Amino acid sequence: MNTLESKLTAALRETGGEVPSESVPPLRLPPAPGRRGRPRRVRRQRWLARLTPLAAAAAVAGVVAGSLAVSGTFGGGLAATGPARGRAHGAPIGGRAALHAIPPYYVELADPTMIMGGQRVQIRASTTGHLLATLRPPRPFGMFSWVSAAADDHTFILAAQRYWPIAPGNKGANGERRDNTTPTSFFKLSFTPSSGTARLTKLASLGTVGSSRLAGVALSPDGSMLALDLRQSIQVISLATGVKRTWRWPGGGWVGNWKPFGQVLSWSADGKQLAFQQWSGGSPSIAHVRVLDTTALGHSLSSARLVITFSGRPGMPTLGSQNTFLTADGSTIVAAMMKEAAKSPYATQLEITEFSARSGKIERSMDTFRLPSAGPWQDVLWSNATGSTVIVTDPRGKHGQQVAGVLTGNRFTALPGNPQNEQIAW
Amino acid sequence: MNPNPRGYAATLGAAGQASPGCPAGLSAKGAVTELYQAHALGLIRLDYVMLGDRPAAEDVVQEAFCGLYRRWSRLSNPASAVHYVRSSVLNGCRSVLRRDISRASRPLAGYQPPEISAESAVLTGEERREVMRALGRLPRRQREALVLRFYLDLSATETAATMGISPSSARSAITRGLAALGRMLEESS
Repeated sequence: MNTLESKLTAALRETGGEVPSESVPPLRLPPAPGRRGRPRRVRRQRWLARLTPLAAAAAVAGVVAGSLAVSGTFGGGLAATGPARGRAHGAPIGGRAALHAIPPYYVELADPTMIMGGQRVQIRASTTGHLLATLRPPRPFGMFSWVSAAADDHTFILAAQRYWPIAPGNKGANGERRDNTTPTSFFKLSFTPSSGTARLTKLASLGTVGSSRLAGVALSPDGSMLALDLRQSIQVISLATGVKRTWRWPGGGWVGNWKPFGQVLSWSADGKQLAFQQWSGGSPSIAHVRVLDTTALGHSLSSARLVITFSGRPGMPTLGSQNTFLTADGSTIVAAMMKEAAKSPYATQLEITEFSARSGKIERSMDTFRLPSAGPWQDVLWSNATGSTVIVTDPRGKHGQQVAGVLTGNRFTALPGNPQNEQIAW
Repeated sequence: MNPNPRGYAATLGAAGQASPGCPAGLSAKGAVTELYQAHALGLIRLDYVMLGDRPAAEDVVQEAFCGLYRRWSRLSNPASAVHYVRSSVLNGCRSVLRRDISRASRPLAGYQPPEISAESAVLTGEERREVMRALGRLPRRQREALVLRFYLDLSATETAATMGISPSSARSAITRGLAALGRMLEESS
């Protein structure tokens, strides 16, 4: 190899090396070719099939009334030495009783369009996975892009848009351009368990948002306020009056995740604290979790308290996936965390981690995986008021397939039906 | 930063060599997931070298694996999945470059390594910028051939297969690309 070839090889490899190994996003596959509707149960998990149907609603077919009134710096808390040695395969299996420690129903976006969103929403029973109701967005909307739940077990907010959200490749870019001419609107979904009916009501008072601007949605636990991540700002809208309050991010980077995915906003029960992710951009991109006091004066997100910093550097702990949740009591932030060895051969440690919302220090780690390669991932999908019970997805399935389940006392109980879409709300 | 770039080059080599190849016998989802775990990082890095845009690189790789998954049942030889996805990624790069006219005319011309620290500034010196800028000014075919040959360590035959051209065309693109690159670097020095 001559000097020029060596120079070229070195330049290419140094440039490629700017992409850190822990930055590989999880693979999000579309639905299996030729298969629609409810995800097939994994046959090898026969023990799932033995779960006794519990809810009376199990036999209820969905009837849809389509009535459309239509700082603690994190790096300082942990050594940058990479994961511990020895394999680990997550929390041991727990009992079915854990399924009763979570809200009885969940709403999942189904028929994924590209890699997020869905052409339908499905309401399912948490204890059985049975389908209770299905809704499609009213015309001209073609898909639902976001879902968030109140704490009352039957009120949900859905964002609907005409095309699909930002997605890979040319189609995503085109969709993004088109969607800004038919912006996102919001709908309230009310589910009545006794009759098995669901009602979708357009929230005209909330107005519309350019679809490519919207990067996160969170309904307050009492269902009175909706928080929107608009990348350079956060907007909180009163559902009753339509009154908006906006806080802007004055620095570099943006509010929300690396891409407009996941649950990046979360509320305390009293609606006074709103936690959000803020990313720095650049390489490595640093992820922060901040908590905003929504009752304080001011319109700048820089006043929000910095709680956690994920440095993004190789060998340091990083945010393992998309979601971060402030628990309703305001005490804890729950997230999936990933640590990776700085040297080859790469080994990855995944953990569901609870941080003090006051100090940012780690309080508890659960569902630990130590794996020989990068790629597998975990995420938190829901947390109860204290963080003692969370719903997670982790790679415990055969060949590293994702399995969603309830994690309580570091015991894992798989959710019947194994929902796969992360656009899901309890 | 990857301390062993050659390791990745080897991983992305022809199936049956250093590559784990295709995990035959798995379900489509399991097989594609395993391939993704083994190759995603290297492919994202390849795309990043070609595009200079990390989010776009991630998107292209994600799309390539989604495409592989959709076509899994129609894949005549599952052992060729790595070649298939590598070609898809290359096609995805072309689409991104074609879409962005400014990039299409001068891909990587505006490439600026991120400024992270004094230490990294030493690693990302002016010489490397010059090489990457010069590479970005090459015609598409020559640029692709050089990246596949010198970043992934592919042979001329493998480079040709990935690009969908004949081996002699690939060899010619590599030779001409190197000559042009040398001229540009001489002019700039």
